[in-house]
Order: sequence, then C-alpha cells, then structure tokens
Amino acid sequence: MSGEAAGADQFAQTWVNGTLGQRLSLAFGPGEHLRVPDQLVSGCTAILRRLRAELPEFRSVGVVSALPGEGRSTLAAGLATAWATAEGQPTALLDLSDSNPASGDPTQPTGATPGSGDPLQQLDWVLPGLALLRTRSWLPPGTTVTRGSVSQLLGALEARRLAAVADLPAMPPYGSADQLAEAFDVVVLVVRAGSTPLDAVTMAADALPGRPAVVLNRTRSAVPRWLTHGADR
Amino acid sequence: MFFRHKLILSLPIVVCFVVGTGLAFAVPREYVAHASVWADTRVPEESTVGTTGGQSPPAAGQATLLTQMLATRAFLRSVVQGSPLAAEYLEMGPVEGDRFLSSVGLSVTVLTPGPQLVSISVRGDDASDAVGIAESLLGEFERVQTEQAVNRAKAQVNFTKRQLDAARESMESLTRSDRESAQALFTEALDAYNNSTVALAAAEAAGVQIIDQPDIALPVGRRKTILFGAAGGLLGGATLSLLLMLVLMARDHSIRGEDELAGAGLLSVGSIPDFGGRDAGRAHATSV
Repeated sequence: MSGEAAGADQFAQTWVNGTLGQRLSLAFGPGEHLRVPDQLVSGCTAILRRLRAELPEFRSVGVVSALPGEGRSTLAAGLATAWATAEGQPTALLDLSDSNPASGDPTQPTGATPGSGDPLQQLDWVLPGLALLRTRSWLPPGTTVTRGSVSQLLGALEARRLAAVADLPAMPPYGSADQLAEAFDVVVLVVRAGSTPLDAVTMAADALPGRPAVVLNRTRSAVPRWLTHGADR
Repeated sequence: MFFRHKLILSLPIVVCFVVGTGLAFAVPREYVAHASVWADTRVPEESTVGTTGGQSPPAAGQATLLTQMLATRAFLRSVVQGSPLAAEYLEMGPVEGDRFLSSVGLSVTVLTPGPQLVSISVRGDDASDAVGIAESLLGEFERVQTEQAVNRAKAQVNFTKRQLDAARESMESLTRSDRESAQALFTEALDAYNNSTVALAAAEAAGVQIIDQPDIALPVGRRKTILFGAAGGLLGGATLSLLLMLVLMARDHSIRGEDELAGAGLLSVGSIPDFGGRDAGRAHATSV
C-alpha cells in the first residue's frame, strides 16, 4: 500500500472514530470507513473555485445548514479534502458540530489529549496537507464552543498558514451555527435538494451574518433524517 | 415524486392488496344446491315438447311464477318453515325475521335454460342448509302452483254447475215452444261444465315435474372472489397512493434546483452531485 493510500485509510478511520464520523458511520455500520469519493472532491473543487470568484481571499469556511441531516459533514469533508489535495493548500478540518463536549464521547481520537488547551498540538494529520481537529481534543471538558474560542482557533491556524473548513452545528433551534458562523470568512449553507423547504433556507440565510453561499446537496442520505435530527439535539 | 417517496407511496398498494386478498380469503365459503324442473302445458292442451314453446314457453311461465312467489313473505315463510332453518327463524324477532326471509329470497336464482326446463339454484353458508331450503322451495312451489290451479278450476266448475242447474230449472218451467230454444242454452251450459271438470282434473295433475332433486350442495368456487378482492385492493391502494402523491405534491415546497435558490435571492455556488445512496460516504481510499 502506498503512503498516500495508507494515509487515506488512516484519515477515514480517524474520521469515523470522531464525533462527526460516528454520526455518519451509523449509516454504514460499525467498523466501516467513511470515505470521500472522487465525485465529492471534484464537486467541492468547483465550489471552492466559485467561492474564490466571489471572494478572492478567504482562509476559513464554515459549513452550516438550516436543518439537521442536510449534509454538512459530507460537504465539510469534501471541501477540506479538495482544498488540501486538489489545490495543495494545507487545511484543517474542524469538527465543531458537537457544541456540547461535556456530553461525552466514548471514542477519542488516536494520540489526542483532550482539553490540553493548545489546539495546534491536537491536529491529527491524516493526510499530507490535511489535518483533523475535533472539538473535544482542544477544549477542556465541560466547555462549550463559543464564537470567541473559534476565532482564537482560526487565528492560531492562520498563523500556521493553515486554511480551515469547519463542520458547524445546524441553525437554531437545532444548533448555534448563527453565532459560530460569524468567525468565518465564508459561510456555506448546505441545502438538501428535494427535501429542505425554501422557507427554512431563506430564514436561515437571513439569520446568518453577511450573505451565505448556498450549496445544493443532491446526494441521497443514507442516514435517516430523524436520526441526525436526534443527534443534533 | 414517486421515486422520492417510493416507500410511502408503495405501502398503500401493498397493504390494500394484502388486505383485499385476505378479506376475500376470509369470506365464508358458500354452497349451492341445484334443482331442475320440467314444465309443459297441461292436458288437454298440446304438449310443447320438441318445440320452442311458442309465444309463452311453459318454463318461462313457471320461472315467472316462482320469481313472483319469491317476492312474497308468505311463500318465503312457508319455505323457511319447511327447511332446517325453521328453528332459527322462529327465534327471530319480526324485523330480523323479515330480513332473514329477504336474504333467503335473494339466495335463490331461477333460470330457464330451455322452453321446458327451469333451473333453480340456492346458495347457503352451509351445504345442508342450501339443500334443505332447495328441497323445501321445490315442494312449496309444487304445492302452491297446483293449489292455485286446482282452486281456480274448482271455482270454474262451481260456476258452470250453477249455470247448468239454473238452465235445468228454467227448462222445466218452460212451455213446449220455448223448450227448443232453451235446449240449446242448456247444452251449452252442460258443455261448459264438462270442460271445467276436465280442467279440474288437469289442474289436479302435476303441472311440473322435478327432474333433478337438490340432494347435494357443492362449494362455490372462490377464485373469482379472490381475484376481485386482490384487484380491488390493488385499485384501492393505487388510488390511495395517487391521492397521497397529490397531497405530497401540493405540500412540497422543497428546493430542487439551483435556479430556485437564485430565484429566492440566494447565492448559489454549486452542488454536490449524487454519488449514490448507501455508498454516499464511500470511495476508494486513493481518492483522498
């Protein structure tokens, strides 16, 4: 197995073991890897180009959704992978979707020391140029993610010349994405095609700072909406 | 729309099909007892055997007579009282009993396969009940129609006898000159009397003859019922699905395309392509 492939497998395994991956892996069964398909990476590369046409200089992207189960994690993983591999920009994929770290997660990332305070020490390099950082690994237990802590984190990543793609929670009442989104250069609102009502999308867009970029998710979800709904609550 | 909600739209069809078929299977088995009755014109009229029966085939007349009788409570009551259902009927109240008599009437089918043949079928939930009702029906039909003919013929005999007696008395009191003309009237009355006594004798002879006794009841085939149940279930389910689809379409305000996003004033920057259901999160590892 080549080094890149081994790294990809490690990325997949680490991703699955995290909070975000744990939720997504419900669809695939325990022990199966979450992988990022070519179509997703190419689609996300096009999205990054389009974003750059709108805003030439951006270093951080926050992915939000009006409702749970819209495909935030899929899009965040795709954007980070595309940025790191297709564009060669070292990128950190941030799992900020779990806004309550005190709730406990039985699976901890390999090699991470929870709550050590320095997020850069907790970066899990799963591929050359692509690092993974979970909320639980840099926030002390019982601490919730706030706009301030996210801004600090983004600043630290910027200092390391790392771009950031964050999987944020859903919009209220399901999550607090509206507050955390303010810390990011670009906010991407993901909408599941044929499922999300237009009213919910416009309401979420109005509640977000600035003008969010909207991405239509045409992928059919293998995770039932009621399940992701419960996980986000 | 169907492919999006394939489960919710398929379910009514499947459920209705299963329920329809199940109900058809659950319908109690029916039994039918058949009887055949031979009918011909009464003597001294010419027999219709070997002919098409003319303007009024005897079988049609008998079938009409039986159908008329089946429309009367008195006849049905006599039929039921002579059947194995008599005890059950006697325990019923007036309304329930009346409904029961109607149901018995409706369970009888009268057909005329030919000018001299009447076919009678009786359906019942139980084989012995069907046979019992059919036997009682035939007996009662035979009795009633003979009784009607005999009563009518007797009335005719009485009438002509009175006319004859009156003619005889008149003749005795008449003078010789009038007797000759009265003789003709007397002879006419005598002929009428003789004819009516012959008619009475004919009426007393059976007008119908039972060819096939209803001694066995056969189960009615259920294939048609099951097919109807299944087809009805499918049709009902499809209708329900169609209505459901219309409701879903009417209530569906979801976004389907990037043009709708642009139309709502939102900045659309692209889309994630569909990379396939359950495999949505999978790809070969070298892709990352």
